[in-house]
Amino acid sequence: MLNKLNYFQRLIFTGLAFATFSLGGLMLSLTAFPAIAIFSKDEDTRINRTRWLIHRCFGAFVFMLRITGILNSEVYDRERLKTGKGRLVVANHPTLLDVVFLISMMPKAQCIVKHELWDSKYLGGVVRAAGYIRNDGDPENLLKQCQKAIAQGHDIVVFPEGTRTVPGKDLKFQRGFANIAALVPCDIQPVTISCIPPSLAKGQKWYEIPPSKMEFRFWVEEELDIEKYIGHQPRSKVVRQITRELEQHYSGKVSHG
Amino acid sequence: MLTRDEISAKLSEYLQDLFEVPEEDITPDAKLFEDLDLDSIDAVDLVVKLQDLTGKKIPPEEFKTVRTVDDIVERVHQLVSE
Repeated sequence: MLNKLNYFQRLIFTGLAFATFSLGGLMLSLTAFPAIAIFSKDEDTRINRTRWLIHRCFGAFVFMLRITGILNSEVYDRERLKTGKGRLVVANHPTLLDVVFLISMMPKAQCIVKHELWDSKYLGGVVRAAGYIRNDGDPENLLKQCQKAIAQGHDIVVFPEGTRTVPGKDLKFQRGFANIAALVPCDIQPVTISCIPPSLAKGQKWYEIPPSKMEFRFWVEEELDIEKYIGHQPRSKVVRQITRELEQHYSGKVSHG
Repeated sequence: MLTRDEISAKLSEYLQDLFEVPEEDITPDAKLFEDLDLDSIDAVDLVVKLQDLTGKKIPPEEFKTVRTVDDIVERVHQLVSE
């Protein structure tokens, strides 16, 4: 009985959370972002303030998810994400909420985002206002945008899998993130994410909630120094080595929970 | 002047050394992106390498239609025989 009650409570709050997220995105695009644009003297100031506001809103959203009993979350070595240093923040991608959590911990976050979101009714305004990077643009332009963010001390969030993990399948990393790290060049800050029981995965609907409260864990790991990789090797080999090493690192972690 | 076989041998060497392609995968009709796992930035590096080899400037549009190993050999051969 109590279990059932808890299930329905989580179901209703999950529905509300999804609605809040979409409508909140739309509201920000119609009110706060234009206001920021009016009161910012230049483009960089506007972008910084917009990203900071998104960071705070995502923080409030995560707080809401916690107090309504949808999930619990624990972050290890969170302070490593606090100051933007101009790095690539790389993570595995089990759920829809990964990026929300990460940005809630990062006041200066740039993001590489799938291009479909630019046409989204609710979130299109957010990704445009924040000046996030489209993942389908020409590689040279993408690299330039990354270089700019890094030079300004923003950390760039990227999921090397390119899309959410398909549960039960082997992890497969694309090389794009390693190309960015090698060409900018910039250090890599790996974060490992786990969500138990698995939920909000690729292809799941919002109402397919897990039998019990989600438990999120975030491990902010040791930073990888890009200089150690670059040495005398050609770029193509550096990139393949980084991709292979991180793919193995995450495969080991994810399969052991 | 470079012969077709020489170009082919050099290309195979680049693919193995730079892009870690296993030798047995390098066949004339192997597709660069799908079969040999090259990406667009790799392609740029490869063009630079081929320019060094031939001493000729390779315009990027020359390489737009290139799909397979043999396409490259053919293009480079044309270029050096001009």
